[in-house]
Amino acid sequence: MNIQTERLENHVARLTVEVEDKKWEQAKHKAARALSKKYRIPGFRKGKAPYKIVLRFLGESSIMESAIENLGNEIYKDVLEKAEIDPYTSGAIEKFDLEPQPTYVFTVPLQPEVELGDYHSIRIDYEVSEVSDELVDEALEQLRQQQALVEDSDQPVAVNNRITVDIHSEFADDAPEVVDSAEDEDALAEDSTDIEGNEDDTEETSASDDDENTIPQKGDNFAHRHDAVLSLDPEREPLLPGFIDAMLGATVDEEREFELTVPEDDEDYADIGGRKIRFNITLKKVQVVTLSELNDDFAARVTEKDDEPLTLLQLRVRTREELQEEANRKTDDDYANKVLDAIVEQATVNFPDAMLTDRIHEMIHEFDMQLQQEKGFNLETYQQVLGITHEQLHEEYHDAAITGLQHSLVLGEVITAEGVTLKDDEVEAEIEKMLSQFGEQADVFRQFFDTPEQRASIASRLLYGRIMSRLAKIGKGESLEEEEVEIPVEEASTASVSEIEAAATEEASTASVSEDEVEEIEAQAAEVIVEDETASDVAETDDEEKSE
Amino acid sequence: MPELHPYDVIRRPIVTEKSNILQSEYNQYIFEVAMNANKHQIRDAVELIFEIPRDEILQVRTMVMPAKRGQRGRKKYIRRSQWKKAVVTLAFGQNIELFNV
Repeated sequence: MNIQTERLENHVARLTVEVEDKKWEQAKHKAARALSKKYRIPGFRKGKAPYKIVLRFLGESSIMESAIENLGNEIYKDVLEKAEIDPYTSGAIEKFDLEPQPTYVFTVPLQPEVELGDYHSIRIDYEVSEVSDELVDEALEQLRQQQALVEDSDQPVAVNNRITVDIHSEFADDAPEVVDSAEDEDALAEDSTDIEGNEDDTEETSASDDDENTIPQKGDNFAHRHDAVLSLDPEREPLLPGFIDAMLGATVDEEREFELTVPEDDEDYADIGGRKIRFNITLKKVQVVTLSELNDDFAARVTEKDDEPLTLLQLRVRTREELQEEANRKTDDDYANKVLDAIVEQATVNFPDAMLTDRIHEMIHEFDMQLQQEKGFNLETYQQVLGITHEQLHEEYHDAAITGLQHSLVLGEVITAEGVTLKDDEVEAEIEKMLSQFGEQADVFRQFFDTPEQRASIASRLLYGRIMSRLAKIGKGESLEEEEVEIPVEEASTASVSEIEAAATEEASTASVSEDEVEEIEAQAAEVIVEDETASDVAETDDEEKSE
Repeated sequence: MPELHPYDVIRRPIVTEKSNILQSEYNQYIFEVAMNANKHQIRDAVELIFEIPRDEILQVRTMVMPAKRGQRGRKKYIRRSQWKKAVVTLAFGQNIELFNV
């Protein structure tokens, strides 16, 4: 066999293989024998017809065809070995020439290749996340909302009440420009526009409207809901501006009709800005929401499940810590991702088209699954509703697939390059840790976690976390020797924070160990020690800080 | 009665597993021939049609293959009527390249 290898640009190798005549003859005979087993040739039992008879009966072309295929598969493996090529998937026979010598031309998608740049030299500034006082206030405010006392009332509607209403609404003026007569489908789409705070949905709907560029006509539905629960909060007005004013003073079972204008500069409703909408609202229930005072009693009530109730001050501190932790984790994640992005940028990644197509299919499949789980319909329906073909869907995922592939390939390469590994007992430890949350039922849950699939997913999660924190270190330019430094973060998140003292010291240890920050941490620690001595002072200082 | 023409003597070659074996092992060729043809006529026909020298045709044997009969209910019928089969043995080195009818 005579093999020639050449590389094509899109990470595909082309192999030209010449086959000896003898081998070719053998292949033809083999093919004929196989064919005679398949077809009934008169006068012969299946599989008993000699080559010549098969040749005459089925014709040379059909023998050739299967011979080419069989011989191709047969020599393919040998060829790959001899040409020293690592294929990603099986290649294809591009063409076959009989003259002057039986010759195969294979195209083989190659295993992706990643060349990492000098990623150790990547440095990105680490931005320390800070929790502002407003955030703490907001979190507490949310707690208050959750703990709020909700009572039915038969008083007329007032601001800050919670009301249950039936909503019918439609466009009350003519479309400014007739572009296209609105179709029923659009009306339906509008129908599903969510009223209650679910902004994702709203955006999605209006986004799809943008794409289709249709303008709702007079009489088309704007929003249509039964038993919608709305909070009449002046700062976050439901539906459209002016809604609260229009509803004020209404009593239960009253029906109101009014018109509102969509603001011109509203992002959600960009395409219908300035339009008038007629509402028909039936008030079904009025509820008075009483927020509790922000004091120690409130704090005690919120934390009554804990071992000992906290004071408001302690609650504040704890909330701040929780927020800080979350923010830290988020910045750490973001940071590691940024470093990864930088590495990807440096690296040269080569992968064949076949891999990209596989990836796109995978993504579409995932999307399909997600659709089925969340929305209860499958991809086909989705495509029909949006009127897009499978090819367009492919196009949509194309870019995302490329970046995704690049990232995962680079990450895999970095893992190997950095020699990050995971041992079995580490996975075991993680499982134990997860189980410990379930207390007595741990044994029941064990069987859920102790399957090979779960183990694999836990392992990959751990590995991912490990490599990401390592990347973060690389980005910060820290030495890589101290392997286990990141452990305190995990511990801190699970530790119970009952004493300010413990909390304060932990805060110091949670703070990440960038060289720039070391001083800062030391300063903080010093502060903590000072504060520690007069426990009540701590609280006051903290409070003062916030009021500033 | 007009004489049987040589081209009418030999109806068709028989290509089966068995004939294939006879051909490769004993150089014997099998034909379906006219019912009323005799061995001399068959020899003449082979000589003429396949251009085999007379003394290279070693042997001609014939047999009458029985009809295949069938019966459905009371009705009897013949699925395939009688036919005469001839086995022609050629000298080694001679062969008939023709089984492509």
